Amino acid sequence: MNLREWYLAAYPQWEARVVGLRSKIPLWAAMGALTAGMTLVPGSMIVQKQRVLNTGTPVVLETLPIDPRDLFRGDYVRLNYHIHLLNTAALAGDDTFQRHQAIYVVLEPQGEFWRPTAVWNQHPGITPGRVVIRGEVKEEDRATWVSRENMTPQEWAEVPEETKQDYAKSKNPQWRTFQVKRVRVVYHIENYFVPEGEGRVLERPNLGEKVSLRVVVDDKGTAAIQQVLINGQPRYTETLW
Amino acid sequence: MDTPAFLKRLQQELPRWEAAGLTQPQHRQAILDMAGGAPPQPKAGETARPWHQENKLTLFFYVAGALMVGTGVLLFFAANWPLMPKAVKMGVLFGALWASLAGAGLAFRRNPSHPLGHGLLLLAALLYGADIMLVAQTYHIESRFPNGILAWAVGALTAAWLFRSQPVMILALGLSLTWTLSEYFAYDVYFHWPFLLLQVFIWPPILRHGWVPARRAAVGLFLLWAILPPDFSWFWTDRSIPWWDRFPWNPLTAVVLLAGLAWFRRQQVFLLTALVFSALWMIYLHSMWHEGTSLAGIRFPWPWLFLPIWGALHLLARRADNQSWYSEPRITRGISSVSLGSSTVSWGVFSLWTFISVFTLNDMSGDIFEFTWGDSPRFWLGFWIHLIRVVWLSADRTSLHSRELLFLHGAQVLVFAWILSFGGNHDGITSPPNIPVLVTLLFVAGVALAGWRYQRRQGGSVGGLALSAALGLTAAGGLSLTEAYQREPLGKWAAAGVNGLLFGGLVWLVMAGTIRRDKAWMNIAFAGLAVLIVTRYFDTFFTMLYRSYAMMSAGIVLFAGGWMLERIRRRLLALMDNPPNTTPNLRRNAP
Repeated sequence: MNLREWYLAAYPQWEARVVGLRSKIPLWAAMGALTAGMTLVPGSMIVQKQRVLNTGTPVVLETLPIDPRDLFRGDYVRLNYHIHLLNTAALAGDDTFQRHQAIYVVLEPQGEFWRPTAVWNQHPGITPGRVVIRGEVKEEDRATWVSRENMTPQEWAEVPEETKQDYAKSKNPQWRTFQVKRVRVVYHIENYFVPEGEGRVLERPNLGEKVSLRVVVDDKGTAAIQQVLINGQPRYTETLW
Repeated sequence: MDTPAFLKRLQQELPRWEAAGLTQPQHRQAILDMAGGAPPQPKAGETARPWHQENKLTLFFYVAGALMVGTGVLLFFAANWPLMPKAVKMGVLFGALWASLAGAGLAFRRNPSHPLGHGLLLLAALLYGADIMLVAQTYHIESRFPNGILAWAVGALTAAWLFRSQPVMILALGLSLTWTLSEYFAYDVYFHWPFLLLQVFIWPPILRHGWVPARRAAVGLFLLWAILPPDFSWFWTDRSIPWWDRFPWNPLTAVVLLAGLAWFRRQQVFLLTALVFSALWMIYLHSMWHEGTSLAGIRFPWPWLFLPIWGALHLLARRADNQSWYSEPRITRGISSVSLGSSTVSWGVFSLWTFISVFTLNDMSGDIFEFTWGDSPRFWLGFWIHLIRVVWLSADRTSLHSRELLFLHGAQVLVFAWILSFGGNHDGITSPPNIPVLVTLLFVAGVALAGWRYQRRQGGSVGGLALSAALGLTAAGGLSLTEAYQREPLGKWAAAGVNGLLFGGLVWLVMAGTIRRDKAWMNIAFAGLAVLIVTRYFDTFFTMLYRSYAMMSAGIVLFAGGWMLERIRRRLLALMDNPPNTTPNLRRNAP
């Protein structure tokens, strides 16, 4: 008995009820259901995005755009935010996070940009003057290079003595960087799609140009890009139509 | 099934066999019919096969056309989205989806298995995925991206269920694999059990409707899912771990276990599964090799370890050949011909050819012998070497493994043509004139001509197929020669030429497969076309807009071809129903 014969012998009723269901559904009903389903899925994506844009709080984030192009959807700018690499030990809140776990980052305005002040495993609740953005831990201990002033005392204590002496003798200590471990977080606002060929323009802005993003965050922490700013001026703005 | 040359020889041989008492005269016609691929007559009480099964060629044209138009539309929007207001973009995207679904509905209303209906339904399923991707692009929506692929797979699966469409089911299978692999690689989900949930919905229609290609694809998919090792990341990246800890032991263990099961349980399915696992094992080894892993300080060509493994499996198959449970499937015969040589052709010739075949395939990166030739002449060499074998085998199909070998070398011809279809593989030409390449090409041309002459002498005829093949090969020869002598690399223009030739070659293969009633070649051609479409979609050697135009034009040509074939078929049917003496005007009587 082959697999098909076994199947047809073992499950005649289920087969007749479920798999053979199509023969009982009129053609127009089947086609209507398929059309509705195939329209609703992408349509609901637009509705969800607009809901965040309409109800959320805008914050401005500092970025470093890199590496444009997406295989499915054409050119894009991959945005590398300053809040991507978090030193959880230096921030208030929880210290340990697991890979692919949700992370809630509290942002507060500091000058031109919003910067992280605390990180939590659970949503800490919203208070005036603060925004909570939800991210996902991509790597718990991402090795990254930072300058001396961006290191915590604990990180500096772990630097070998020889390296510290070398640093002390250096003529340009401001250029020296040290490898530390940080938590890398993604917020699902890392890609911004641009016309083919324009990605590289944003990737390498002219001298003196600074790219930043105005992002809207709703009360659950979901973020959506509202504007791409060059030197604080909008270059691209999100609209429904 | 086989060539006219083979049939002619068989006709000459049969009287001798009858005289020797090996066969009876009354069986002569049946033997010739079988060898000639005459369609099997329906048994008593058996109904005629569904209409779409009789029309595979038309279905191929519509499905391939749908794939190309769908991909072209996706590229067109990806390239042009800033020029249109969002409302227009959404209107066009959803309008195209609704139009395809409506067209499919109309076609299915006329006939529940109309090939145009299946083609349009496949186009709709592709456009649905395009809509998800392009809505995400237009509105800058990001989330866990495998979910988008899952939504696409579920939509395609629903369409396949509702309209009993095997092409759409195969698309859903491909998407479910993409989904599980993206969970695996991007989110480190090493045991992705939700994949099994999708399997629950994939299998019932496949079994119910007896969809053989979909069933094979589903089995392959499941095996691939089953052998994914627990963690890939260490395999490529962490050099601090000793090689024996990085070695892919688990597929090797699976091969040994399955081979043991095959022997003790007397079931060939285990042996075939062992072969699939061993192929996957070779892929692991290949990736290790390219990472520069060395064994005791010696750089070792790991993939070649694969040949003894295949050889051992083949020995098992040979021993099992006399057993009742073992029926010598084609795959083991083909593999055995390569790994150990054929029983009817000198072992030495086969070993030499095997060496060349393995060398040309494995040396695609140029790592083993480090030839100073540029990339494209080396790839052209691989293309022509395997093509000679195809010509030889076409001329003499009486040897034991000729069909399997024809299949194998033909596939390798396509692999090399595919490699040459990339723009980047035409940039590395060194210092022309390239004498070795010229000599090889002349040699190849001579052998090909000799094979063709031989075939003609054996009774083969030069029809439209042979003429178009000769034209295509002449163009390929001209292009490879031009590349060998061109001082400046031709780059993307040579690649564009190869793409055109490959596309034409695949369509030619489908036509030839249909005329010869050889399903295997049609399947290879269709798989090749799918690979070509996918790689051109992801390729970047032309702008998206140009690629979009090329895809859409080719798709429209295929749709038109399908429509014309359908017209011809109907006219022929009308002719058969109403012979010419009663129907002077065929056009008026066509349905």
